[in-house]
Amino acid sequence: MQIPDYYEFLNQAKIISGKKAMEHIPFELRGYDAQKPLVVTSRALSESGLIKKFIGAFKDSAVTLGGIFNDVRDYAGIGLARDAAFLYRERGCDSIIAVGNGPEVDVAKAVNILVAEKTDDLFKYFEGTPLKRHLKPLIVVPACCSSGMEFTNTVTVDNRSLTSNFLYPDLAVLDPRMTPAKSRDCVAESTVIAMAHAVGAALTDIHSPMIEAYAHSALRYLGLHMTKGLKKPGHVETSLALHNAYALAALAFSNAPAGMVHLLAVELARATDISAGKFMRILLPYKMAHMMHKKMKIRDELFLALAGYDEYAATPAKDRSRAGVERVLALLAGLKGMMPETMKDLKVPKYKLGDIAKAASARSGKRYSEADCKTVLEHAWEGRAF
Amino acid sequence: MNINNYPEIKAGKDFISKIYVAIMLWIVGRAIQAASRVDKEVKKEFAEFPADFMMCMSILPFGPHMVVGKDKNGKVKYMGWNPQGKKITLTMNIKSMAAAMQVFTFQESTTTAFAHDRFTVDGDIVQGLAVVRVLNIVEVYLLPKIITKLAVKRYPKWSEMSPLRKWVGRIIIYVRAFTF
Amino acid sequence: MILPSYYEYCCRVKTISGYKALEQIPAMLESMHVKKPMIITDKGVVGAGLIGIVKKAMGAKVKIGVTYDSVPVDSEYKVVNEAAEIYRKKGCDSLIAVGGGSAIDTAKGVNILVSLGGNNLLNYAGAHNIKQKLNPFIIIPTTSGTGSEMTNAAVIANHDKNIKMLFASYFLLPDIGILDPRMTKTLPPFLTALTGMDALTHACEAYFCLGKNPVSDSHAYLAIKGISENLLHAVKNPGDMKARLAMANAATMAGAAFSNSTCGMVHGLGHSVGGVCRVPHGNCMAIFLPYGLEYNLHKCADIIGEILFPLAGPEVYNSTPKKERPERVIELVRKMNQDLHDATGGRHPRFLKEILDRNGAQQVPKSALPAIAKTTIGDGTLVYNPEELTYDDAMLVLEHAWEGTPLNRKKIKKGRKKVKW
Repeated sequence: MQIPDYYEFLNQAKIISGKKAMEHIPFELRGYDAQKPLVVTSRALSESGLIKKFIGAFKDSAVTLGGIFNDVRDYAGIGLARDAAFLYRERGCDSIIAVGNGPEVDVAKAVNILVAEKTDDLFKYFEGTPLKRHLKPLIVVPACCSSGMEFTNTVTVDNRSLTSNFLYPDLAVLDPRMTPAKSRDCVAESTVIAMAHAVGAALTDIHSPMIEAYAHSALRYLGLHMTKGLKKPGHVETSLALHNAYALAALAFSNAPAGMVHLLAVELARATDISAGKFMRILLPYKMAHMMHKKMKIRDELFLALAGYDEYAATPAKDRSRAGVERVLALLAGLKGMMPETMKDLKVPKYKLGDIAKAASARSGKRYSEADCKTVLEHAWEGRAF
Repeated sequence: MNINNYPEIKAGKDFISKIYVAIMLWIVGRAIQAASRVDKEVKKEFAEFPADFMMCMSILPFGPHMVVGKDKNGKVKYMGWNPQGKKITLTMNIKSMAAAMQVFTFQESTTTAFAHDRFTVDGDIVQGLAVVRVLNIVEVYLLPKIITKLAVKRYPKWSEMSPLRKWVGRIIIYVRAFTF
Repeated sequence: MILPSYYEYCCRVKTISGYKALEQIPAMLESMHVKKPMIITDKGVVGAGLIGIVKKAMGAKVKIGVTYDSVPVDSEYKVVNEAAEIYRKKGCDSLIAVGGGSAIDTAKGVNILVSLGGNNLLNYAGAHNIKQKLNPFIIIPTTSGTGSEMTNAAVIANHDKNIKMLFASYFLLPDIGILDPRMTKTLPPFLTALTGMDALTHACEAYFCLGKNPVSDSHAYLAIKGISENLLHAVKNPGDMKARLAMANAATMAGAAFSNSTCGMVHGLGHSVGGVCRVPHGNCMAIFLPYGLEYNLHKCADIIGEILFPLAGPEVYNSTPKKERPERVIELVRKMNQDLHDATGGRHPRFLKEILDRNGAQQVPKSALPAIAKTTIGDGTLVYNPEELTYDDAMLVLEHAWEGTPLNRKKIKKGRKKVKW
């Protein structure tokens, strides 16, 4: 076991996963002396019938849903957060449940700051005022296209981000009635994000056994279930396993310094309005190739997590590092036809790469040099091997 | 914004589950009482309990409940469905109606339900475990082997409970549970 | 890796680990907006100079409200009340527990009283009876074993009424757990061995008992690996800070694993021997672990076999045929006990009859076994053990563990083979 000289780790969220998990929400709320949650979700989910299943889970409980705020679309804005906070106050709610994925959860987190801090000025916290205390109980029920990023300690509103340990949800509810995906594209996007984050966390130079534990389980489930999940997005058990992987990958990611793939993908997404997941798919192989090219150690644990004990033990020690990389590439190859493979396909103008490399390098606190970022970007743009 | 577009939603009611679970609790409660007279092992378990023993098994948050305790003569008795006014020494709660349905439709064994954190126990854990053992024995009596085998970790072997003892016990417990 | 049909996992403790972890305390107190912590510890810890190290690391900036060092071996109701009274009188605003299980449990009890008011701890006994965030709370363990910094439970005795009160709530978890090898550096070899085996038992039981889940699995895997790589070394080289830090991490990870996946008969038997014969907890764990593995073998051989991977490394795992792996695990655990026995000059007991008290007298007489078996079947951990364990079964295991002979497997009554996770 590799122990660094110093590390910190925190996973604030309790995870409950499996059969009838949603029916346990009233009991969990009771543990906080709460019984009137505001539900934040999207129109699409409430029309798809999933919200009906969610409401059904509260039968015979003491919980009254203070309101189903279902106006969220694919963007989390301050206007929505203020409306939902108004509803929260009018109804005298005492907790928040977000059902859905990214934007729904971001709105819910923003509402939580507004109502817990009793303020209308959300952005002062984005500008330096620290959050100082626990907010209201926040429960997240990921549905369909969740990527696990809901469980991190970050909120993004109007394209501005805030990170604070008080923003971790208190409870993650993974229920097999909510996890099956609508389409293969959904699964493709989510698995790639989880993969990029788990690989990034597993290979980070600022390593800790706690991060390894979360990344290990996440990668293990991805290794076991990703291929099937892409073939059968609606498969109940597989989707539950994958959602476990997403959540655990995100929790590992929140505790590790952000990896290069994540940083570049986020900058590219900002510059192009294309989802970050698509860029992660393209960048991850090149980042790993770059590491090998620079003779940086790719830890054997990557292969162990993806392949399991038996295969790992049966592979000669000197081949394990490379086998890990190959396994990642093989899993990504399963996305063929679902996601573009080069940045040319996405029509990213080459002249922008310099700025993006610069921004990503700056965001990493210069852990990654601008030159390295640029090299990876350029190779990925051209589809050129190292 | 018009908040009337986002109505409050009160929790619904599932009467069928509630009635089913209530009946099951009634049967189990009566069967425990009967088994405590018939089966020597159940008798032994309860003999060690204090005279004020009173157990309540509830489905959170509104019931139904099952109260089993010792009466003035020290005999184990099913005390009805209402815990109010009784001095409960051991509480076993199931976290939700859905979890209770899993247990009482035999989709999840008592043990699995414990491992899945569906139960909470308040009171003397020694008594709690004794009750779990009693429930296992009662299950062996009440249910066919094919179901009970899935519900308990180890179905009693011939040497532990002979077919004669099982069948005689089964008949007496059924008769006692359903007659007054 | 199995996906259980349902599981819960919660371990919301910020873990800070490192050679200079203690130096982070002032910053951590500041981040929680508190200024006047109370330190709860025992005389042994003070005597070993550990409080001095903590205070020095905290520097002059932090004003410690008061240091309470009268925690007895068993955490006790009156002590909790007394400490809470002092906390209030001195106007403290947070707690730092430095010590082993009893100091930590006492501090958990104090935190209940000082956060929620009153002095009747009994009001909050039981499961889920605490419903709000308690005061800021830091735990600094001084053994690498109990994993109490990661558990949501506390056991506090009330000697007047002769009961042990159990408290369980996620709000009992500390905000921060600090792992610093300076705290375990002076732990004598035989205690290092015992507490280390305690941690190994937590990890192994978390791996094969019924509450197993993906998060506890990987924590358990890493804990087993860390212990097998470092325990013997730390016993032989007490001053090796690297091994000490690794053991502290392993114990914490084992704690996180078992507090979420729960443990089984090894703990059930161990608690009972501890209760009946006043034997330190770790002693019993080391002795019963191989028996727990043997007893449950038919239920989960594959899973027990997997333990060989972290325990012996990939090469041994690969060269051992699948069928033989579980047996190898049991063998290796026994060998570990033997090695520790040798390394501690015989102080690390392998069997029950080897447990001696301070005067060298046998602490577990054979005549005590029936009483131990009886207590065992009332232990809550049995619910999570894969195989049923009745009084007769417990006696079977106890008799073998007393003599030190491997379990007679023909005598184990075997239930249905398949375990539903």
